Amino acid sequence: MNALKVLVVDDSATGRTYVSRAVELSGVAAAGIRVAGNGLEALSDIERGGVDAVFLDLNMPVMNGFELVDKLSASGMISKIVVVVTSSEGNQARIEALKSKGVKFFMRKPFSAEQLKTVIDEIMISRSG
Amino acid sequence: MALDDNVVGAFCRTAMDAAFLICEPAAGRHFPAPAGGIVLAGMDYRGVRHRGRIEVAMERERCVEIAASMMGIENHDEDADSNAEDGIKELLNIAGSRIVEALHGATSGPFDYSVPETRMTDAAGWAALLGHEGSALLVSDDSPVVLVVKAA
Repeated sequence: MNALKVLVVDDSATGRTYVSRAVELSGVAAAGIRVAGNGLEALSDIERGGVDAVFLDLNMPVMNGFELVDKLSASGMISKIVVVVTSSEGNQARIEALKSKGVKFFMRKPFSAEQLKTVIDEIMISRSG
Repeated sequence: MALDDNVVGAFCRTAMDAAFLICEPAAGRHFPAPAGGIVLAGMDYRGVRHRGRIEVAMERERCVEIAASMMGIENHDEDADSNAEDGIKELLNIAGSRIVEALHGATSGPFDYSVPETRMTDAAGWAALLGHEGSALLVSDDSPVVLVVKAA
């Protein structure tokens, strides 16, 4: 188990559960996995500290993933965490725009637990480097 | 006008990849409206040149299976039942962009999507969905599924 602190942000309970389980199967301790149901909840959690990586859905009520990325980018917080967008978005220009704002990884839904583990492994390697 | 094969294929592939839901065109088979509860999920999409609405309806029992599959739990688990509607919404959320790409082209975006919502419908509602020009009757495990794309 690694000590990565992960925040899973998705308005869908099934989506949150799927990503949380895949994160845990990738070697992250269950105690290190928190969840949020929209961008506003996630922002509050991130501002409290103790989040290393965020797995972020885009299409959510209240505050969507694009809006959260904008806020994290504007405040500079995005440079202190790893943001992984997990979405069905398929428009390359939007994906590139998110990356230009500091998003490190993009995973198009549906994705496998193995694909998610690859991203977790890359995050761990970058943190140890 | 029936739905384009590519659109139906996009939904069926996503249903398989996201929820292990085997889904295929009914291909002339006829089904009565499901006797049990029917869940109708819908989501709007809007781009610069195209907009419309995607709807999918199926027996609630199928939605329970979708939720269970996505959450990695058994169909009889309480959480699968309580998240049945959430399961079909998440499937529509995932399939929506692929359906729109199949309908309008992969480079026709970007598109904005509404947050999916669900409601229960009945035999009359089921018949209305099937009667729409942009509908396709699919079958999953001998259970009917209706996919409708209302392109504006």
